[in-house]
Amino acid sequence: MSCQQCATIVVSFNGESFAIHQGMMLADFLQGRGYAADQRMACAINTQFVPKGQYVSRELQNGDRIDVVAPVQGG
Amino acid sequence: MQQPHNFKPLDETLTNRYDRQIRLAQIGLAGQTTLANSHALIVGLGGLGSPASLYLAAAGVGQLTLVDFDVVEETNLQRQIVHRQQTVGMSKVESAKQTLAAVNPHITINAINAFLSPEKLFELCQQADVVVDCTDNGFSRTAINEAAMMAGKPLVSAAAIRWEGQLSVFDGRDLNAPCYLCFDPHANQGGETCDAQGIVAPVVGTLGVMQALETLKVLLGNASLIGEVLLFDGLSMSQRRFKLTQDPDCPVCAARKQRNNH
Repeated sequence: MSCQQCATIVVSFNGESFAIHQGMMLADFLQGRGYAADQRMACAINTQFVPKGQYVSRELQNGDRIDVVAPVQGG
Repeated sequence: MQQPHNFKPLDETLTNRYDRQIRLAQIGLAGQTTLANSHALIVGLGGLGSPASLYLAAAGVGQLTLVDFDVVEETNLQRQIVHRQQTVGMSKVESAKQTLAAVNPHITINAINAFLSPEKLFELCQQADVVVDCTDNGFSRTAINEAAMMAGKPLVSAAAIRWEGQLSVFDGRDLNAPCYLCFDPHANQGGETCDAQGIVAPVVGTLGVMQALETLKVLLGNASLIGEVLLFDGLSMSQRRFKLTQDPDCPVCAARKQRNNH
């Protein structure tokens, strides 16, 4: 019997696959990967950047491709 | 496209000079004439501004305003190709103006050797058709973004460090388009510098050239990177593109919307 609470999904993060609990939010996932909430980075899901204020409410879906990009400033 | 009252047609010398661009369907005589009647504000005459200004000058953008407060140093010459051994010690804008005028004497070049106040930056953005951010730090980038967005001008922004670079167009003409702060809200807190981390000359050169290309396309009305960020990796020779939307919490986008309502 399947259990909704225990279901896992698979997402990719910077090209690497991760199995995570269904219902996990982007902010929690990033924290688990060692990214601080106030870290200077831009995070995209399926090549679309997510506004910072939405990290806590953005639920990850099976197959999501997550990329973290560090903005650079040099010139 | 609506033509300003002082819009000047190209004479025969110039149609010959720009023949290879005029031949392209997306440019033509009309597009080349638009470029000749356009004004680009280029802030920063370093690793990005060198190739960007050279190509914008050569391609026939009629008026360039160059802004920088720095002087040419020996360590600049490895990548800042608008400057010369003989101009070490000279202001970067004057050094660049000499080279650009030698490349194309048919354009107007204004050189401003100063660190600009936000008010002056805003005034210069208002006078330009496009703003080209070629600076090397988040503080300047944040100030230029605010000035360009509040002036309602398109901003072509490039950055590079080590082997990588980023390029985007932030369209100040569109109140719903994302701005630089939507991408990097804390840019003014500073970050890594090329002085400390290093930069490969052709990497920043590639970004500057692509920045010039996107600037021409902004002026011609067919920019590709509005609301997108292109990432270039020179070590693996790969590119990626990401879409960017306006951040509902962006203070600059909120301010420009409010300004428009009054």
